[in-house]
Amino acid sequence: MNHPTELNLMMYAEEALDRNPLSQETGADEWSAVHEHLTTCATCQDSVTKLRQEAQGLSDAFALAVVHASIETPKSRLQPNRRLRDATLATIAVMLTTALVQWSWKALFEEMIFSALAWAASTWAPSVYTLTNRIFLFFQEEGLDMFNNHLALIITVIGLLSLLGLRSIWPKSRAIPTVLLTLSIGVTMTALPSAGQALQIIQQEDPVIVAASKSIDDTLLITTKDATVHGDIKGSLFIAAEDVEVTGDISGNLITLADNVTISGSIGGTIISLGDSVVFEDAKVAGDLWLAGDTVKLDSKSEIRGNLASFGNSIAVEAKVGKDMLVAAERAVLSGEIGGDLNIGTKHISLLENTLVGGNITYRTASKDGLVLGDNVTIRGEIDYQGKPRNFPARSRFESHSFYLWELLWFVGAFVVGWLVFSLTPGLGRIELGGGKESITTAGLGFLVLITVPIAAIIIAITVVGLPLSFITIMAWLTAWYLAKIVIAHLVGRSVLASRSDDPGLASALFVGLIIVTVAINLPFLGGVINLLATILGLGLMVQFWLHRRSSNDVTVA
Amino acid sequence: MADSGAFEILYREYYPRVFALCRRFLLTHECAEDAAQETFARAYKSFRHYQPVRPFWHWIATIAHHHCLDKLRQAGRWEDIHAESNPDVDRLETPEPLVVDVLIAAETQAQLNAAIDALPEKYRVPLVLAYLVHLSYGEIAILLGTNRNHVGILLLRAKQQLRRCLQQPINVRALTRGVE
Repeated sequence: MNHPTELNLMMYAEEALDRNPLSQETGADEWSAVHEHLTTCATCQDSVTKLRQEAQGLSDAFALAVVHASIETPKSRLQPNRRLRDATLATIAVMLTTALVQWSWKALFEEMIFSALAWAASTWAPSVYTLTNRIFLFFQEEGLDMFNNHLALIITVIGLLSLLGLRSIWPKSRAIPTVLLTLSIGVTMTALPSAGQALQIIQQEDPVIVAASKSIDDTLLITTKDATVHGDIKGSLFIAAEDVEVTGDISGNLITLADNVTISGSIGGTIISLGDSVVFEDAKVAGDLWLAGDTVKLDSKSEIRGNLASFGNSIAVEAKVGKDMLVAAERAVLSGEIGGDLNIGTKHISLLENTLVGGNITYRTASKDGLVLGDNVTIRGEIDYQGKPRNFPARSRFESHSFYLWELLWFVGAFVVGWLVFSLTPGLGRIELGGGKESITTAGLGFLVLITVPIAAIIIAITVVGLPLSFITIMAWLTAWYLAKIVIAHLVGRSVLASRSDDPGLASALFVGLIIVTVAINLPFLGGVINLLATILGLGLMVQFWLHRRSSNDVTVA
Repeated sequence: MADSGAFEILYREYYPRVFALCRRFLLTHECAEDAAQETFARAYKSFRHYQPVRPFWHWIATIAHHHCLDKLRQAGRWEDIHAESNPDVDRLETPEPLVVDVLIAAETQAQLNAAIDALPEKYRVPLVLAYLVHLSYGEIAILLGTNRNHVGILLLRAKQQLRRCLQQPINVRALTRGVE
């Protein structure tokens, strides 16, 4: 009897002979031949049985070897490598990032704020027109050209940075961030011209007069010597001039920087007016009023539906103010109607006859008698004298009880919010801050979010969709800012407790981390830097988590 | 990239098996440990490709044996398996008796491990793929760039060497017992 080869029997025993008749490799014939032979050959049947046992025995032996082997699981190298080299790299990266953030922050905000303050102070000086006009001239003639000329470069740099950040963290296809980036740049490029179209600029030395018959549908920016607006503006109006007169209707906000301002139109939004003399004559203002000037005067025909905040040397308000009034001046004379509270700090306050105050009066004068009430003055609330206007001596915040109270409130709030957030999104509570390169990416990403989101929100506000989306963006940014330190606190808490337990509870990790972070960010000298660092790292981690989660969802859906 | 916390759990659970697999391929403890770590690092980075419908072991074992084969090739230890192209398999008259029970007995486990380690790469690799990773003949053939028949030949040769290697001391022991 011709027995099959051992190879054939083994492959038959392990079901490796293909039964598919179309197979060209082993063919159904071999299987059929072996199968046919086995029906008549007891020896080969026995061999097949033993070969099957042998295969099973080998599998069992391999499995047994794994079970019996006393393999100690080493520490995973997936976790951040804490070797000295990486720690050094991470430290250098963090230092550089912090320095960059500090520098940018100072350049972008502090300088801007100080410049703004210096400029605001100069509005009382006679040269306010010259100063503002030169600023606007510079931006119009040089700045805008410069910006336009470098726009492509600016966008490219921002785009490349974004692309770099996305590419380093985006776990999916490299094409997706590229497409997203291209789209975002395209949208930005498309949106920028519309900003130009939505803004009309008039700059000339000669007087500018917008006739009463004229109506402008865009936001208008005027820089000139004398500006007179009799027409209607279906947007906001910005004016920098020596003399400004507005008699038309403005549907948006009105911002004026001038020596002399006279407003007698109807304003749909808020007014911010800075100048030597600010006068309202039969003006109707739907929003709030922020005024700063040597002389501020609102006549009896004017009506303010919102709040009035006024700062100056001499203030005379005969108008009707719908809500609260805040006044800081050398001399204040009020004779109108105030719907809410009156809060005032001055040398002399006079409430002339028939003045009506719907709420309380809180005032600071040199003496209690500094408040002079005329005949038929009606005050529906209380009058509270708070003493002389005084300057508070500067003292350490650590000496103040309120500091500890606020820190305690922050701590409790952060703990509750953190507990909720980590309970709802457990994955966020497991993210790790990587070693050298990963920490650079995280810090860079956090820095990018910290800087670019508010800028994007401003661009959105004045270009495409408008204020609602900008508001949502800013709210999301502020929320992320708040959560950033909580995320870092939880990470710190986990790291500290890791030596005691593999899985420290959420509450204990959060509690310990928040204590450490709260103390660290309030340290003298270093606290600010630590606060900033924690914020950018927390932001970076959250963005990475969000992107990874989105990517994971994509994969699951796919 | 995977959720590091969840992946750490998988790491702790599967590391011994992955290490054992790599150890079968690469023989030394150090190489196997490096390969196992590299396997998990690759799995961690490409975790998005993992489909939960498939057992995790299958997925990570695939990464592991691919990596180990690469290491063998890089080290020049991967012999030309096609040199075994001539089957030269005799018709089976009387199959060799197998001592399966002895094979998996605890006292011969070390002997079996030593015998497997002593096999040439071209026999050991398909043996590990077939009986530790549980790949089919077809899958092994694709992986090694050959055909199913050839895989069968390699496995047969591996088993024959193992039988010879294992039976020798067993017979000696049996003889010793007989003398006693």
